[in-house]
Amino acid sequence: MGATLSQLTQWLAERWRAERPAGRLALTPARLLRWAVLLLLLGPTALGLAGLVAPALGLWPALGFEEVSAIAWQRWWALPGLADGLRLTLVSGIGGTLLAVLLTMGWLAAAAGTRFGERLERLLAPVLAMPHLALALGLLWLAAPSGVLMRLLLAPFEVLAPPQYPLPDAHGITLALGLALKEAPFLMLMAQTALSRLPVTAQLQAGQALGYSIPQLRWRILMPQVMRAIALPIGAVLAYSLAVVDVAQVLGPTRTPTLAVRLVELWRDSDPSSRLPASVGALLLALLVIVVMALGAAVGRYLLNRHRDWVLDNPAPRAAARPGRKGQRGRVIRVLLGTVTAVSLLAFAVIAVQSLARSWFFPSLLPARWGLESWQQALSGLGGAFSNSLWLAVLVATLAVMLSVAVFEREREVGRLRGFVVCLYLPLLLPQASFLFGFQVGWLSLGADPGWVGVVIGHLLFALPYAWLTLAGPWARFDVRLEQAARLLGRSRLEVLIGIRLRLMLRPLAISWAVAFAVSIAQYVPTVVLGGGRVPTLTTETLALATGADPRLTAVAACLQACLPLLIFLLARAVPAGRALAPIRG
Amino acid sequence: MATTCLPGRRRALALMGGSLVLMAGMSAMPWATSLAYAADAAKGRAVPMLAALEWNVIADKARGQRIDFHAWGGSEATNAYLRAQAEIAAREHGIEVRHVKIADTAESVSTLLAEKAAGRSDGSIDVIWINGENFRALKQAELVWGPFVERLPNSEYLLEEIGARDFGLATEGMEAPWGRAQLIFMYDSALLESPPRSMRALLDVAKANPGRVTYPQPPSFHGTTFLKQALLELMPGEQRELLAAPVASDALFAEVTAPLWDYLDALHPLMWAQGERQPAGAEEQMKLLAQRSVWIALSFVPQEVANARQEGRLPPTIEPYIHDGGTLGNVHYLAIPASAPHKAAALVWVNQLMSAEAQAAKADPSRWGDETVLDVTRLPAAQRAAFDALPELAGGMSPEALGTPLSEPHPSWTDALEAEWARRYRN
Repeated sequence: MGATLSQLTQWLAERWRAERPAGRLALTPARLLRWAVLLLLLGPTALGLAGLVAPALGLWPALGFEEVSAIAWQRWWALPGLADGLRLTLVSGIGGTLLAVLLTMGWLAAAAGTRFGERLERLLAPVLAMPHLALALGLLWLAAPSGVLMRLLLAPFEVLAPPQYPLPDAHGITLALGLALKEAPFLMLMAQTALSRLPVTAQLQAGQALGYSIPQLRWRILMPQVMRAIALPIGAVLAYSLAVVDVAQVLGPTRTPTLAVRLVELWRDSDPSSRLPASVGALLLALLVIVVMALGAAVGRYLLNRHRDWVLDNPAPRAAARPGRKGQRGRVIRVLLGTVTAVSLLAFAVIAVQSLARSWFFPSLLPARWGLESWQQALSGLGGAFSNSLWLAVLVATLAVMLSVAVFEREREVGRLRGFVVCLYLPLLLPQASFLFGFQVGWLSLGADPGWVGVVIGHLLFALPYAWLTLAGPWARFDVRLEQAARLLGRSRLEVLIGIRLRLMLRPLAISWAVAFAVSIAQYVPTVVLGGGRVPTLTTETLALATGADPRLTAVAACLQACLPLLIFLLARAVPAGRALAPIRG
Repeated sequence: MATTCLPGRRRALALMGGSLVLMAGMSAMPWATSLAYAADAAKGRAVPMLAALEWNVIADKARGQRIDFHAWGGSEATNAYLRAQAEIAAREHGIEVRHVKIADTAESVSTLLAEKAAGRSDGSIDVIWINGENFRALKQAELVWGPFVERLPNSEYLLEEIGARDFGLATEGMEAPWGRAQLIFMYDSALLESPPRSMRALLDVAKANPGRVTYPQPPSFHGTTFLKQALLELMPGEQRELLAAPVASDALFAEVTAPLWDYLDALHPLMWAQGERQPAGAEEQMKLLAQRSVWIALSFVPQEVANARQEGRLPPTIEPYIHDGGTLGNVHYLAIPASAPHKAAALVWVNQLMSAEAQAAKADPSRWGDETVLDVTRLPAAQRAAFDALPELAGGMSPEALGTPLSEPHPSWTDALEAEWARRYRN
């Protein structure tokens, strides 16, 4: 961390010198914006980091820890079950990401662009929109021993109590599966966006002219291009999966939980000094995430290179030679994808049914009594939360997309803004609870009050990276010759940006906006911590209700929480894809 | 900041220690040791200037203020009750109450700590629903305001022996009693012929039905409570008074708790999910009970089964019971943080929630079913009538069935139990 920080300061200093070559600082709007963005990202990140590093060094004056000491580290390493926690974290985090990537590759190999694939995409929209926690609960209500699937199986028999089998299991496999089911649609969306920037038709036609079958071309040509384009989103999924808390609490083992869950437990311990070892754990977890991401990137690059060598060394047999096996493989993948989709949709359906149930106990397949009471109860208390969520997400998503565009434009002038990208990613890497606490202390020290402004900044910290990485691929692959032509025709830069690029990139922009919107809707910790509880949202209310003993209200809140992003995703998909964007011929 | 903190902690410890000496001889009484703590309150800190004002002056100051009330929001019964009370507060006292629904009181403790670390004297929390370890954390960090309880008009009717100590820690009038809790168990009468009325009997149920018994995972509130209840039942009766004093030594702790660990060693392999998973709290265990995955659950709200059956959260075959030797009882409270920006309105709100009307509505099992902290027999007849008129629902627990609650052990036992549990079962 220290190295990163000093790199950042150095980079900042260099930028600062570069800014004022003539010793005069002209405040152009572009420059103002740039500094605003930097402050917005660097400020909270630096404060948050400080809020982690200080307690990890044994400093917490408010609790009477006034001198640097190793106590935080000693207490951390003395915790029981750390090795098991590490194993679980790796199994669920890496396993979940790997499964999601494999599913995406399967989709690319056998479904993308086909009618089946389109249907799949439409069906997966609710899964994409559903918050992680809601999907996890839905999966549990579906597949647990007392779940709907088991009731269906047992329906012909007279059973009093559900059977017993380990789901969720003790090894993090259920958790990995749950994460994969939730993240695969996100990666598929990213892959879809990447595909829409590729000259797919031209490549396929060229390949077919050379005698390759479509499945062969998908695997040999399209897959590697798309995988390279979605490397960043895969990294984000990996970071998220390694550090996830709420889903791990529902689908993971509890006796010895993942490291992230352990941190939050320590953070919430009634003994405030437990936050010292929690801070150490937070830093170590961030380090783990960075190491695993670097390894993952290296492995991914290696595999793609091997794949390229393989493609070059093995001109495929003619498509006609072995049609049967290829077709069969495609069918297997399609069945797998169909099953995954069906499971996710069933999980969604179970939540919907649960929200409409009055009483629904094992072994009834369907509720014994139905009713809208849960919805009435919830809505009477959630009206304000609903509108807060909506306006917050609209504001955050708009800001996130605008800032991303501004950054991309800037990068075209000065090249890659590495320091900026590091800042952008830090909030995703650091465990939220502890990171935000530092931010909160700093924010309050500045004399600011908890409330809307803090919440917007907090949401932006997490929505901006997603908006940025969703947009980065399409942005880089835009055919700049269109813009060059427009500039040659005498249009100003702004006109070209708005009239050509943004207009033609409407769909990626819309999807990026939708992703940022969904991220904002799902934020819990920043909303509570930086809002001081004064900005109730659907998510804060859902989580509060989820800690209670009424699954029906949890279900209602989850439905409400999912419906806003779902609507937005459907609208984003309806935005027409731009035309003639990439260098197809030539 | 830190200079005010350290002596504060020392003072708190000294008070605790001093009162424990006084306490030693009188541990048999339920809600024990009120006299000892009354003495603490007397020698404790002075009543803050605001709380010392005439009540109508405070009420005038409060008018027009808006307060943030941090309270667990996991129960719609509670949320609806607080909505109704907030309407009354607006109508009768001219104050606006925002119920900040939190998932875990530790979040609010975090907020207060952050505000303190930032050197802010104006915080974002006016009143907080709290007890036990969270109160201890706030008190140790000097984050609670008071004493104020005796200045509230409605404190006149409080139960005589209530509210002096919160999980063994002297409250010193810094938090107002809001409700009484007692541990109850519940079982599914369709699956078990009779409930296991002791920890030993619970183990027999687990042996006969492997995988059907569990308890919430410590250090969650109910998980730790289960440990304490088991310890009280399993240790020799003559050792119980040791629990009232701080843990004297590791050797003593090991000796006293040995029966508990033997018991858990036997129980864990027979538990739900082989003990690999335990419910996060009593609420999750109730959801498992509703689906018959487990056959026993527990709660700190004696009327919980009645309320849940009426609401359709639990099937009608679930019945409450308690253990033969009695169960742990405690009180939950309302506290005002030292940094609360609207203390006058906070006082008015706390006073309102302690009123006979509010307490009777809260005790209604069809609404919430939380036991009152008022001495109903001393109330004026008109107000007593509201309590007499409370309905009795199927699945309720009568005061006779509840019996005398057991006292909570000294908090140092809680800490030691949690640490030892983690050491033994987390590997």
